[in-house]
Amino acid sequence: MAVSLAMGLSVAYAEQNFTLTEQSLFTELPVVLTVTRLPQNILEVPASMTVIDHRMIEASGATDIPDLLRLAAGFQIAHAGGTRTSVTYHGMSDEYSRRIQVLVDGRSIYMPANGGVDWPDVPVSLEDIDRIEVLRGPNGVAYGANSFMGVVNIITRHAEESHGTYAKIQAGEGDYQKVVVRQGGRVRDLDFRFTLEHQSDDGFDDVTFEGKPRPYSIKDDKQSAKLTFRGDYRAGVNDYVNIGFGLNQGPRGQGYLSSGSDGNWDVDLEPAFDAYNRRHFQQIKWRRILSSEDEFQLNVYHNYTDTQAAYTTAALSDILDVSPLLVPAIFPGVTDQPLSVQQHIKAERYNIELEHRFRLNDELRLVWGGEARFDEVVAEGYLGQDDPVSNRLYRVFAHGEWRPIPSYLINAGAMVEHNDIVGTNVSPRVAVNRTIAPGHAMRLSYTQAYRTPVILEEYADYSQQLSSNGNDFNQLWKSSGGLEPERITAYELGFMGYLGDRHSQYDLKFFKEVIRDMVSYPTDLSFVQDYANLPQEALVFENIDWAELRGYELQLKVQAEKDTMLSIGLSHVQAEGIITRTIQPTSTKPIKEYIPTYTMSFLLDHHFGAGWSGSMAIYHTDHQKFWHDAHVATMDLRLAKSFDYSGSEGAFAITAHNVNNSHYDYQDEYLIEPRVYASLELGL
Amino acid sequence: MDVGIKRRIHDMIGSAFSRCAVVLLLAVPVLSAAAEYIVVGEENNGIHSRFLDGFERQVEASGTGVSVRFVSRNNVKKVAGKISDVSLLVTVGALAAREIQNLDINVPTIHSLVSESYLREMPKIFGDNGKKTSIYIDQPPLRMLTLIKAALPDVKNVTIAVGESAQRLDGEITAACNTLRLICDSVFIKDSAGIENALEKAARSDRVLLVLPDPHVINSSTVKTLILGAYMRRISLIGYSQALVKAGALMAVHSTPEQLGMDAANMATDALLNRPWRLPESRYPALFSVSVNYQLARALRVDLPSENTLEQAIKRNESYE
Repeated sequence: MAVSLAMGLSVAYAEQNFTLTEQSLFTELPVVLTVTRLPQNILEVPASMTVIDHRMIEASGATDIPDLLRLAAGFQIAHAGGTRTSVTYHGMSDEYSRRIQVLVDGRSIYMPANGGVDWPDVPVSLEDIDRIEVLRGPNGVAYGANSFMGVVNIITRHAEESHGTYAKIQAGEGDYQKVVVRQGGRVRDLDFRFTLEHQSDDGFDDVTFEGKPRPYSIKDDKQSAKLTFRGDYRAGVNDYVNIGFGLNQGPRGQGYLSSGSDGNWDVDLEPAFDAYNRRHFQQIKWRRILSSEDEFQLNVYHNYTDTQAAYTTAALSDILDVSPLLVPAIFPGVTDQPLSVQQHIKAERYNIELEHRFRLNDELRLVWGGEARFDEVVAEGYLGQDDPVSNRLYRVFAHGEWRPIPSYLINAGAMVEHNDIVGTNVSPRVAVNRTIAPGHAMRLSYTQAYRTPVILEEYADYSQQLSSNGNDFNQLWKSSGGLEPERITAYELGFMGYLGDRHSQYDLKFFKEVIRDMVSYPTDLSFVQDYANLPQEALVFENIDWAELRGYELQLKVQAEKDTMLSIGLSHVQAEGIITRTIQPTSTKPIKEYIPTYTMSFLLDHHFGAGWSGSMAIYHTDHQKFWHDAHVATMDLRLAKSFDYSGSEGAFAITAHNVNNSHYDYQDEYLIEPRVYASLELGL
Repeated sequence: MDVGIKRRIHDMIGSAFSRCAVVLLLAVPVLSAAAEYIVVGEENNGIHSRFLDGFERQVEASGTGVSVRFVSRNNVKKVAGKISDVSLLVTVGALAAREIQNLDINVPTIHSLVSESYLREMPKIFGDNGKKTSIYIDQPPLRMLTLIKAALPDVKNVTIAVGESAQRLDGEITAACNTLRLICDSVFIKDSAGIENALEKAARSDRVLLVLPDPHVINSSTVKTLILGAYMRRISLIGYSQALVKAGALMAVHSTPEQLGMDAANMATDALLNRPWRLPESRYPALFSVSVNYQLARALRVDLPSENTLEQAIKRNESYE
């Protein structure tokens, strides 16, 4: 009995401590390296891509996301005052860059009402970003609607990587102040983090015109308070649920501040006021990973944006600088009164997307899925109606990666999209990648994509109204509707590969992009206003512009060991085409005026040891019109020291932007001057 | 037809029927004496179900007509007395093996889904040559190293992470490395820190790390450290199971539960045809598969042959042994 008991114990001990049971070999393990986690081998990607990783984000000294995007070859940014930044690829943009798709963790933040992205209000803190993948070129097949000229895919850090407490304060010239506090942790199988951020600045300095100070200043200060949450829940061995929500709000300065002297036309037309922005989102993603090459993802989200902006002009007599008694004579039936302008926009987006990636056999991998979206906009001032205007969108897509022989990889796919505004379109893509030497490949690709006009382009009816009765007075924008989608066809010959080791890589592409049916908003000089003596004109929306772009682009990243990193982006574009400025009669401008011939970014980062690091970034953008012609050649510098403090990690950094000069980028009113910032961060 | 003819026909049929009956009466006890393989495992266990599927399929394919009966480990005590000495027992998993050992049933037994290290730990149970044998659940080190040699022919140095349960394989590992002319560096691991140590060693060598199974070192809590650590250091991680490859190891040679079932069935059939029962020595699985994570291979920029090519390469190597 004693012997058998002892033996039983011995067996039990063996089973507990040394025994390899069937569970050890056959029980499912969490899939760590999933298809979405593994970076795509650049030799196999069907489109050119720039990855802005965490080191580049830090080294750049950027204070916002648009600053970072200058690191992607061919990207330009411009500031329409201190509250609005436009990010574009190959130029051709106004303050709303409508030809770039932007995603945060798979959630499209492209605004349904006026297009583009409201960058200062993107509900993500720079400190939470893991990397930004920038796809340069059309990519509707993979990213859907409006992935027309490029895609910016912002990926935040997994909550597991943000445990503990983190705080950062940053201050600088222009009354710039920023505080970030983050708390992360784990409760059972849920990793989470909350990030709270408050940022404020007073915008650019006093405005100028043609280099001369104006007798008034622009009100472009802003404040933004953000709260974001990310939770990563492991629901099963290979089931992951990602929950995100966030909200942000704050005032935005708009208009012009009088310096005391009366009678200034700009101040009379748009006196200073605060617009008030409120945004929130909710997102839930469920991923079921069947293997490292087989996973489903369901992504459901809701975006809400609300901008409250309305102002009243000075009285008509002040605007016109005439006696109040003369106003009825100029505009029969109208007494002297101010005009009211409504710019409220409330927009919501509901989106559901399913995607399945899998490997069919050794040679063929497939991705297929579908998406349904509902956008709704209420913007009485811009749309001339207080009823909601909606757009429903449905798309299905599939693309495959086929390797018939080891040295060739063929990517082919298509997306079929239907929406209320333009109906049904098909976006195909074919790319052939051929290995030309170990670690080096070439790519030949053909892509077609569409951009659906945004709700404001299709339905705009925007005017200044009489404050006494709300009747339309001066029509500013008027869309006749029925717009066609913009269409781009892109051809690309690319060479890409690794240099030395995997940390250094290049991507050189020669491209041709043909864009047809571009939506332009020329001034219709024959427009008939309701009142005489008003300028008989208004902005209208038509598919009348075209462009053909040819050029080359180089993205190079060199990393020598761990100490030094160099990133270079270079783009050269030659363009033909027109942008229509007026119709009836028609006048056009060559589109090349709106596209910089050269764009260059250079970022050098070095770790000197003992916690010291320094970086230098140079950005050059050739002559380009956003509103007025401008060119940019600017340099940013950063010096940082990391340290340990009672077991906590911290860093102190000084960053100087535009150290070499002041410049304009959007228009020659907003002078972008040298500014110095200091920051202190601590992680507990 | 006249009555005489009818009677003759009747007599013929009756005679033939009688002969058949005699044959059947004689044959039934003979077949029934070897007619049953009793598989003892866990109910509602997916792995055991897959094993049973493979076993039954292979028994059927053998054409012996032997029946297969599944008995739950929990019920085996109830049927123990009825198990004929001409039956053959197949236990599935360590718990079933222990249950049968405790009951001391004196019938030929094949223990499956138990590890080589477990069997070595329990010599008393499995020391009965000829009547008891086993097919290990794990793979021989030589086979695992042959996979590395076939997939990564330029590799000369292999780091091997050995947990407590695989420590006894040291001699076998050394012999395998010598056979394949590989320089092997074994690193003993007993916790997560050991994983880091093994990864660092591999990173300083040819960036190939072979991990041997050890449930206390590599499990769902530590697998992330191992796989991400290997990936970040660009180490080719060679695992021991399909689950580990799915999780993010580069490749593994392993036997599926179905293959282990088929293997046990083949062993049983051989024993049946060579009665009186004489079971072979315990051995590693004869049937195996190779799994490769090609997505990871692409990310690591490692060109690997097809799984089938690798499997054939291992089989060729073993046939020369």
